Amino acid sequence: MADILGAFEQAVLLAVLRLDEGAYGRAILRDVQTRLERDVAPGAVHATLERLEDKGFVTSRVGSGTAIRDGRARRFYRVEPAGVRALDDARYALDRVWRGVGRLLKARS
Amino acid sequence: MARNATSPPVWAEWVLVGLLPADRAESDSGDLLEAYRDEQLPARGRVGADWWYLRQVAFVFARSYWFWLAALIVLFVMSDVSNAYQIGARAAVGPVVALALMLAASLHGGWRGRRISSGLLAGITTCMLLWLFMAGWWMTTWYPFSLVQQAEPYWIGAWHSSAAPGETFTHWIFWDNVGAMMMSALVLSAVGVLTGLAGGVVGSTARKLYPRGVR
Repeated sequence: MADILGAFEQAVLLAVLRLDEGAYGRAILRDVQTRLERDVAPGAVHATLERLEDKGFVTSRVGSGTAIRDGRARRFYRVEPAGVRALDDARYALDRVWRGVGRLLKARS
Repeated sequence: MARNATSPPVWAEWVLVGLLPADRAESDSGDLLEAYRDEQLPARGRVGADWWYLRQVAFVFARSYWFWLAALIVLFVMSDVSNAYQIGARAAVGPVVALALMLAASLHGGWRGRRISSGLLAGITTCMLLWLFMAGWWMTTWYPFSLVQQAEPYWIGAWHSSAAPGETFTHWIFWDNVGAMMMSALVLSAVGVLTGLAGGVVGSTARKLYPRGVR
């Protein structure tokens, strides 16, 4: 099995999946911040997207800009089949790690 | 260029764009500008939003070049401590390694940014941040170090040969540190530009010849 995605990579990849056609840097950042309930540096999201693209988990295309960005182009991302597989693997690994622990936690609480 | 009332500092934007890979500079800087105007300005005001923007630029630099800067800082601290305490061999390898690290930072910049200006920016910024650390270090350590140095024959000899008549050791060593700070600012500026240019040319050319590889 390839490297398991880290929690932040999963959050970014899931944001791209969730936002679908509207998945560009700033929208992804907002989604990740909302889901993780903490402040996230835009550079951290950009770096993660760059890494995910290098791994072939996402692809990107350059789209139009808007007035608030002074017309600077937006880069839109899309999850590739390899990215979906990586998410599945991460979820499967996490499920295996947690299997049977819920009962123990309940007993101790 | 005049600064727009709803824009971050022009120089900070310029630095950010220079540090980013050429193919992502427009979109990534656009995301940051959008966040600055849409979220930071209304919530924090101009000064707070500018401070946020500068932290984002610092983050982009640190993410790509922290290793080179950290290695230079470690090298400098080791060299300064061994110099102050006169321990270990006084090897000439320190400056050579430092130059190699500065060149490596610039090469990395040229490679990553795919532009000569990115290498230049990486070289100058690395040297500037190193100098800031050096200045802070010297101003913090000069007194505790001087307590040891004033018992060292090497430093006593240096004090006798270059101090003004009646000048105390502590006064002399303080101004020796200030002099070192000013000299290092000049030297590091020149070295930053030269290694930045060299690294920028080689790094960006290498990236054009070998477009695939590590970022």
